[in-house]
Amino acid sequence: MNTTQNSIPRRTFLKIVTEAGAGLTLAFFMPQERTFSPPIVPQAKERLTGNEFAPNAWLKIDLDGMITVTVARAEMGQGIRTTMAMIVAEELDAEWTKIRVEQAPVDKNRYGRQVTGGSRSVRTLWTPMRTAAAIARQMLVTAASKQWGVPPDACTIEKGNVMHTPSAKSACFASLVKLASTLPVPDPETIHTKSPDAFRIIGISTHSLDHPDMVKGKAVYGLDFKFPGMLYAVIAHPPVFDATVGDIDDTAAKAIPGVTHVIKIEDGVAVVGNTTWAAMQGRGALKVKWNRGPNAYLDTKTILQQLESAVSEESHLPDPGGKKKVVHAIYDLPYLAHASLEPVNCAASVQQDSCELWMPTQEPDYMRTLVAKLIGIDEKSVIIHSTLLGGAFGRKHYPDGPLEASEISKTIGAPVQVVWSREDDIRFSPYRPMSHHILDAFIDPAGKPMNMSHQMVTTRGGKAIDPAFGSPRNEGWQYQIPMSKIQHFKMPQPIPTGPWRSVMDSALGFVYESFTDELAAAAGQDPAVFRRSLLTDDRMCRALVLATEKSDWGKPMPKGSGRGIACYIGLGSYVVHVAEVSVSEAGDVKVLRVVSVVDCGIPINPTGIKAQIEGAVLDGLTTTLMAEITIDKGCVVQSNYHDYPWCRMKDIPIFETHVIPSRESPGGVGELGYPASPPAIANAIYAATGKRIRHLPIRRSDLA
Amino acid sequence: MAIIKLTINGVERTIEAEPDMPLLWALRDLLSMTGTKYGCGIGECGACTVLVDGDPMQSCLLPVSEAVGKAIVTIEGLSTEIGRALQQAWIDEDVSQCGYCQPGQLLSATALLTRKPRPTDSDIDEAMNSNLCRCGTYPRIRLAIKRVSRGIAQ
Repeated sequence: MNTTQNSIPRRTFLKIVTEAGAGLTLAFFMPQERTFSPPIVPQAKERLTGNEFAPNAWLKIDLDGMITVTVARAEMGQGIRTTMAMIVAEELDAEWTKIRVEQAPVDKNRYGRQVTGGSRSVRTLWTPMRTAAAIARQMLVTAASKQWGVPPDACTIEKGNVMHTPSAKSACFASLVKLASTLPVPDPETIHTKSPDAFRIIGISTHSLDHPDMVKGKAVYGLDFKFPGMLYAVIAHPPVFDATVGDIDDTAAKAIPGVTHVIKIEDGVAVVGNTTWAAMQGRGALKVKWNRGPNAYLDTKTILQQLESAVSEESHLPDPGGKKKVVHAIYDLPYLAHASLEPVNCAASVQQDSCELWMPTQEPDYMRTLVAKLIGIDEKSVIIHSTLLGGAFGRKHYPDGPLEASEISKTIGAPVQVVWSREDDIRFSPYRPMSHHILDAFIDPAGKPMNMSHQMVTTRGGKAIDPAFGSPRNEGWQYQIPMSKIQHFKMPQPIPTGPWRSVMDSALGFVYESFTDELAAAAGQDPAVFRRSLLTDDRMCRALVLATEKSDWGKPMPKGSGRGIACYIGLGSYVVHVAEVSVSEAGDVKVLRVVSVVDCGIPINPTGIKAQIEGAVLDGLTTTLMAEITIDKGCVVQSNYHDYPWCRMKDIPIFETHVIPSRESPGGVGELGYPASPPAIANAIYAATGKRIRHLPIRRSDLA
Repeated sequence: MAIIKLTINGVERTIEAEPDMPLLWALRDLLSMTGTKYGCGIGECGACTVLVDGDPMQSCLLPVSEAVGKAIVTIEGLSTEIGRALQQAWIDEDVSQCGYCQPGQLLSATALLTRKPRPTDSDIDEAMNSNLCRCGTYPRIRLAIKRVSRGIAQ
């Protein structure tokens, strides 16, 4: 059955979620951050043992003076565990070698919402963690002052020792644990944190606490956990979106040595075995007849046509009158999978009235709620252990693996680990939405933009975990151009969509910064000078100027090569990338050098910030030059890293990343580097070839 | 099922497995040596790289039957001077992000420097091309390899 979705009347599309604003001037403004900042709950009396000093849920100091920092965010490569430890060590004036970290259990009352995403971890935990540590610091000082009979404000702390200089007394934290743990915990409202002038850990590049285990193969990711007697499950998922299981022939699957069960589950058929390999072999031998459903003929071309027909190519721009030039451009961006190297997985052991799970997750509290509901037990009886995440990029917000593992473990009555194959991971992801954009602007004879409009259609599908997901955050538009009209349509499609590094700004960064470059060209101005003339935010201006200085902006380059610039404001931070590329006659692009300037407020761990920026730039390089997800006959065409490639060592440019010192509150970093990366590269290609890039990824034929 | 004897990190280990089981799953599921990672299963990502008689090989493609009689080194047993120097350089250069691919990267780098102590940039590109890092740690992997290379030269 071919449902030819082309024929759906346009009116249907217009019923879909529309966000429109007319007559807006979208200068830079920061939207209200949804707050995930947790409380600082003083430690309950009964938990104070005297053998450790734990004034609140965020840290404890034992009799050996070891300080354990509780981290209530997932570590997925962004270095959050080390960053949190640095914040606590700084405020405590602790000795760095005495610090260790522990992953928080799920406990909403003590740790708040435990979601790791939106580059929010530092922004939500900066104040609570500092305050929690400052409370501990004050209590240690009080303990020492009591012991010595001196006033507390005559005492200081340095590298894990409380000191009273006049009497030359000194006490290490360990020696104060017993006394400190008997003292009343001060009210957080009365606590003062350090001035940035006094920082001696924050702002200094610090080695990760997790790297020593990682390089020895000792770091535990979700896939590395094993329950005693655990079985392994590999799942046959419906190949077409929304297809259902028809007939199952498991004869050959069950004949594979080591295969123990074949069971139908909510979303497919699970093959269980005593090794991952047995389960994979069994999955390969399993025959499932799928009811392919209404999407069996869906393809990317059709979806694009539908996106195109949801908006009008006619300009929506009011005529400002007078002499002017019009600039019109259409941009298209594909679906993208996350393809984190550790695929979706979860180990579950479901008992009669309890359940224990080990998983790499960005939202352990949300997983607990869903698993409890699925199994029909109380949330408190579900224990979630959060492991390290072998990459996530938004993918591990999703509960598919944990729910499958819980369902299978419950059914077979044994602990089981669900392992998604790479093929599953690429074919059944909540994808970065596909999107189609029409932009128009009028420029006056002096080259100044008079007004502009943006119509955007994005796909939306699947079980969205957050109703707000997919809406532009109103970040990423930093220029003073009157925005006459901005329209956003979300078009339902069977392809599931979800957050992917920088969420919608992954598309908007490309669209706005490419269009700004087109406006500069139409105005006959240098792209950096043009941007500068339209910026009002001082921090963005400073970053832009520094980027041009550091990148040799304006210096001639050889034929076939060029420099491109792009800016991004978002997540409480600022970034500018200048990319240098060369383009061969055959149309092959090589990114040679990327100079980045970052202002993310107080830079906590500069080496980690640079790593995040450079990694995100490489995601930009990959998605500009190689990776996309396409659909044919209702299935995802790509399946593994050979046809959904990611950049390799040979593809990388020279990086020069500059982090601006700052006393502003720390902003987000994990997603910061992405949005301006594809447009910096695309704008550099324009400088090298005169060809505009309006769809990603670039095909060789676009440039040959 | 067959009884198969493997020499892993200098120790003889006996497993009972199908002869065609890839070494990756024997290591992870039968021997609980989980430092060797699964990433793609088709030899595209290199997360499962081990050394077989000193050469980097993707253990997801190597049947256990073909590993018999060979010296297998996994990340848990990386103990040569070069291997240890690389592990330290990885820490010093802050290479890892999520860390999942790094055991494989380290084994490929060990094989490279063991064979060629002073690699050029293109030697590094070539030797490390089989190892995918989804976080984009390549610039620092290159720095760490060069750091160890300089140490060997001194």
